[in-house]
Amino acid sequence: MTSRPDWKQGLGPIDKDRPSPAWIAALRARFTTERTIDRVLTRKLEQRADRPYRQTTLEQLGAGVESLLRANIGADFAIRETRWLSGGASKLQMAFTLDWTRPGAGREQTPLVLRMEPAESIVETSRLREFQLIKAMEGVVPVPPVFWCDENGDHLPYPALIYGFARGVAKPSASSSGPSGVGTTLPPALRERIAPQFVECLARIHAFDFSKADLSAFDNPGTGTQCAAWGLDWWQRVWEEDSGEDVPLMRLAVVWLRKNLPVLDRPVIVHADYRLGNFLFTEDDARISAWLDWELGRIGDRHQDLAWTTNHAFSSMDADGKTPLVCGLLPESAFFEAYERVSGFHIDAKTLHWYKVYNAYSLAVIALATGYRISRNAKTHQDVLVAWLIGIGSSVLEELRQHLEAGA
Amino acid sequence: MQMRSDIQLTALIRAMKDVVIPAIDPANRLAIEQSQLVLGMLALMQKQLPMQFRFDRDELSRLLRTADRLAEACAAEPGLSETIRALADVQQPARQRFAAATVDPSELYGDVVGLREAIGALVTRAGDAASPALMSQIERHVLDLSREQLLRDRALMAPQGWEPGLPAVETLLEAVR
Repeated sequence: MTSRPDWKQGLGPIDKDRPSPAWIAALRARFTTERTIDRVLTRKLEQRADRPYRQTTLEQLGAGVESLLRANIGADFAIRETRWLSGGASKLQMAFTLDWTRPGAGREQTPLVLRMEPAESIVETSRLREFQLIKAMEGVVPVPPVFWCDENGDHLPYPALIYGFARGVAKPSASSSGPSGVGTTLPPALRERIAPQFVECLARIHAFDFSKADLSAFDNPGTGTQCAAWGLDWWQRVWEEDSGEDVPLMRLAVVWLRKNLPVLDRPVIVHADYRLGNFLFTEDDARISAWLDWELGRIGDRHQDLAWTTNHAFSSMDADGKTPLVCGLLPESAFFEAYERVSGFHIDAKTLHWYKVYNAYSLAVIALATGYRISRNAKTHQDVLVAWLIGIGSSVLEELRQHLEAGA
Repeated sequence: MQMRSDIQLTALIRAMKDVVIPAIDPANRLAIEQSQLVLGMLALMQKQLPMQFRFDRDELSRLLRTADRLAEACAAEPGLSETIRALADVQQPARQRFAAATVDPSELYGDVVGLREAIGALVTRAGDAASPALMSQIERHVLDLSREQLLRDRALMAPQGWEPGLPAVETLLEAVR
């Protein structure tokens, strides 16, 4: 299967499967992103041509974890019960038990999870950013404890982090859903218990004073339009890097987004994938026990989370079949009202609309461009799931079209 | 339409090779044999699909040529006249369709991709250069195109179950026949 060359002015034919240094440099010059985002996207392109995903065994991962631990805690430990975990479309996960002397706790057998990137991921992100963000959130909202990070894949085949095994389930044991928790429905009694915590946790994330947290892998956009511009540059760059077929609607969306950049009034921590499927809850007491998947998080605009969470792709219908529920939990108006009341933050309708367009745009980039490119190039441990997710792209584009119709 | 059969088959073959087959119990001979057959059949589809149209067109050309030769050879045989007429009845529309089927599907798809890109480039340039009134017109045209096309794209993906209540894609495509 050959790649269709794409022509770019001044650069000749562009083969996205084998990116040239000149094309990579042109992309970096054209789009301004946070420094760490630039670094991971550049690394992705530089390694694209020669680095398909190589299947790894539990033994290989165990050896990599051992190397990482030796570099961090010496030799007094044992790794036991390594096993694969499923779930998520993005990273590869292995559960294991660590027999070690935990600082402040003594000898213990700690259940842990290794979370490792494939060669290219449906979302190309930094493990260090994820590590720092989860650390910063300890004590703010329930998160799994994070222990160690192999930022550049010095010990493991690809960059990875190790975090504690959190109790709970992402969906009721007796339910079914699509990949990544999309399409999960919750029984009404459970909804009533979870929904207030869902809103409360989001409010706490946004109210968190991050000024003293170690977030060295993040850049703070400050107030103004830079936050929105950085975000748009990020996703437009990924579209240019990964897309196969062009989509005129995506071009129109970029024109509209650039002409309407919202002004950020207060930089906050943004989870950026805040939805059902990305938190665990304990079924016996219906308590949210851990917020997961912080990899897309950034310092940004609260409206990004609010718009993402209310994306129709993550909603499900109430029993009446007429009322869409935000993440299967509560109607959109009730969600916004509760958020404003609990957080004390105002929701600006215009900014919210901008982020609805922005989020639909970025979701379309992920499904249609990256999903296509990485499954085509055999870059992940589950190309078949990634290829399956391309199918949601047209529904996301329809949502984008409707938002543009509403705002055009 | 980005989710085409080449991507689907590539991903399916990798999943079978790298994950499913290695996980099968070695004692289950039937499962191992059938999984290898699934893999082989998928690889065969991957090879055949891109050339299926050309293959059929090639065969049709040979059949038409042979039908001509047979009709000519049998023209003087009264006992075959009815059968030759029946052959001609099938031959005539087949010949018309053969004459119309000159474009390979890959060329058609190439034009789809080329036009998507050229329209996209126009939109991007217009974002900088067009007056607000013209940009508004361009927006309208692109939004109209997107509404109609996305309905078909979504209907094509309906078996995946992302959205309920979409019209059947066959009905939507009927209009352009």
